[in-house]
Amino acid sequence: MKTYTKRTEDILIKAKKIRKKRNVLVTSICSVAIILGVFLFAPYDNTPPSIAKYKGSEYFELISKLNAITYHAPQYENNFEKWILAPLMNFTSLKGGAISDGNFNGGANMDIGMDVDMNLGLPEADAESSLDAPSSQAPENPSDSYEEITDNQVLGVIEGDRIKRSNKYIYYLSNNQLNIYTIDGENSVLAGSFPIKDANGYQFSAYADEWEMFLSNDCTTITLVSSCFNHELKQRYVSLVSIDVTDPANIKENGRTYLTGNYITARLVDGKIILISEFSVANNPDFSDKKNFIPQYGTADNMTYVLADKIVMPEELTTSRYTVVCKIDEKTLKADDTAAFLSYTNQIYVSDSKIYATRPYQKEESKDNVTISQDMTEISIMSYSGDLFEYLGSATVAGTLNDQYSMDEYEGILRVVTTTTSHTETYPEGYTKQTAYNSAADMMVSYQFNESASLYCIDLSTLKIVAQVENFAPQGESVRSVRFDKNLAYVCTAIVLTDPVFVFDLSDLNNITYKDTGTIKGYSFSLVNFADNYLLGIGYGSSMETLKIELYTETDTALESVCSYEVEYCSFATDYKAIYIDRDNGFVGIGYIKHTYASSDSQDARNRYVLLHFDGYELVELVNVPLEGEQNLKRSVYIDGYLYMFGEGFVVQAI
Amino acid sequence: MPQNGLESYIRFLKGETSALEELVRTYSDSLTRFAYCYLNDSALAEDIMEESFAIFIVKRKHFNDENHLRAYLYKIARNKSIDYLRWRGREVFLSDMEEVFANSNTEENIIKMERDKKVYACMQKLPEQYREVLYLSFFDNFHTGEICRIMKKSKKQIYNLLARSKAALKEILLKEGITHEDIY
Repeated sequence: MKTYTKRTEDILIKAKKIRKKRNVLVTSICSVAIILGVFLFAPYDNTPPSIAKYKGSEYFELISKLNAITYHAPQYENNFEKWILAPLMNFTSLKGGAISDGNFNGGANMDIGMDVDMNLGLPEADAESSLDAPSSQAPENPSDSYEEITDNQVLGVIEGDRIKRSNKYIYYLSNNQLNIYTIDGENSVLAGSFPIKDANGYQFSAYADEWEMFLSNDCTTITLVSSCFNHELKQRYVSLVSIDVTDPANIKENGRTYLTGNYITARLVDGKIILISEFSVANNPDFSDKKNFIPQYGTADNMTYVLADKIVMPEELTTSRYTVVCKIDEKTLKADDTAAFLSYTNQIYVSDSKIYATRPYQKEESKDNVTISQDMTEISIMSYSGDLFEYLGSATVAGTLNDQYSMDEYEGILRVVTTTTSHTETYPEGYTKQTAYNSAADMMVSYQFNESASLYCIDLSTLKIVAQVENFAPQGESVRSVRFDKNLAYVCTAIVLTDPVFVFDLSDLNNITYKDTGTIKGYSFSLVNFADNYLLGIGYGSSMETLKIELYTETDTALESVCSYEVEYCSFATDYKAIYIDRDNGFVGIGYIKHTYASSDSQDARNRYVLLHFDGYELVELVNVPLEGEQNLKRSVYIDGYLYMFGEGFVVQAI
Repeated sequence: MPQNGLESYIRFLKGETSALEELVRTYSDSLTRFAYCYLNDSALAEDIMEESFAIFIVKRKHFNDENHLRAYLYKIARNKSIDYLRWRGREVFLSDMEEVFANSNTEENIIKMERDKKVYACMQKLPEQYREVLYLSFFDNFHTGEICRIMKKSKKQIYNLLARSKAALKEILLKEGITHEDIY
């Protein structure tokens, strides 16, 4: 039994231990709290990274602009928000039934898709050795002559397509291989095929629906344009593969070259390929590695960056996306020159000597309590007629363009049709857009949205607008299709499924006149100048499931419908290149798949190809046969009494 | 009931280490017995008492009332005992009760001690809460209000608990042959 003194001593010893323990504990807790606090609550840096170290670089101006537009401040203020608050909010929203949120599921699905599709790589440079003069060494076949079957926008400026032909063979890109068929009516056969493979020997399969090709004038070389993804460089490239087709039974590759980005379009003019791609700079790029923000071109082992003085860019960037143009020799695949337009779109028009690139932006003007925002388009012009690209300047028009057919160069004048939109905000008296922001006045703004169509004529020597017809379409209508034919311009505008089609007479720019069809059902996504001054409209009928092909003719007072052909409840080709146009014979061909069918119909019977003939009065169905394949990838050609149709299969029909 | 505990504590806070021994003399025995109610082990009860004192003097809390000081000390001892039982599990056995009463060996206390020992032994057969409330009430003469604070219960609960525990203790005492006269 302890004495009280002993107890007191023991108590003091224990108290000392407790004090020591408590001090250690308090110190530890404080330290952990401070470290945790710093770690969780230290604010993220939300200022754009310094680019001072690139001051000496020729790309410094470009880097400065890209740094400003690609910098994205962190989504969260600190780690606490990122790791604790955000998951908590996600969890709460999930419990609240937000599982179907597009971002939540869509992102994950997309990532998986990308991984599967993009398992490709650049080939090794071993093909380089045979690249120098492939066709010059190849035996020429004088009996082969080139026949143009693509309905090119500009005469002499050949567009890439999935089908090309000579007088002996038809060349068709099917899935991931090039097929060559003999032209021999019902006895036509597959003369040869060539699977396109990457460096690892894997057949190219990704982006196969984007593939296009050119056939050289001597019919010895096919130049295939395809996209591929390089996992090592983590970038997408457009590859140009040169294929020797002198002997269809012994097809071989000559070599290949690359341009960064996704494929937009290509042209072949006088043995030079104008290859156009789009290249996007990711957010917060690492500027120490040029491949992150400068487009490249060349062979797999020797990629060259586009020079700084070859990059056209506006004062203020609106996007971090390039439109890259590269002029490549068809035979040697050597690039003559490469240039790029930064902040431009994929709406490109190529005339016989110039490339027109477009950049949409918004112009905002304020006066008193009224603010008007208007869509504008800057059209930059690059000449490619010389050895090197030459930037000629730019012109600006109001509105936005529909596609390449919205522009046309004719006798020194660039004609452009745009959808003009303006957005007027009227604030309460005494307020402007800036002062009303985040105040009660912001709730009392009246909005007015105006949409119509306009036509502009730009003199290419001065780059000034010399004639214009503004807001000619009914209010609220936008441009759906345009086609220029010398001094005529055809424009289809529409609200949902009703349209008028306009025809403009541009022979006198001081007195532009136009007529229209009035309101008719449906609208055309393609307008084509057809036989004997007829206009062909291909598009939707009474519903988005109705194919309507209609012919119009111009009378003294209006543009009148002559006849039409409709197929209800179907999906059909919407890519203009998938529509076969033969003006000489008055043929129109298109693929479609029926949505309704008899129980006895097989899948094959629903998927069809139809050829129509305009006999001067109506569109007569000449061919309607089953043809497997995706509608936009189907092609056909009429030769000497036979229609050759290509999809996933090959069908020949006598007409 | 000790009268000088608060004064000793104030002197201790002022730095007079010897005042702690006075505080120990005043409260340590009753505190050990109180801990024994839970633990049924004299060595452990002694240890818990010392630890309770150690925590008490480390915290250096200020009191204006002697009863509050005492109640606070008991509260620490109670919490420490319960913590120990939780940690160890409740497999403790009655042992060394003599030790718990060893310090009450003055002449005038011997009779009281014998009587207390009998009651205390019977109390150990009661459930834990009954033991606790009886000890605080009869051995340490806490007021109901103080017992409420120590046991974290309402006054009504303490009254009920006291009534039931007295009835239960009476039954045990009668079984053991201890009558009302033996106690008073």
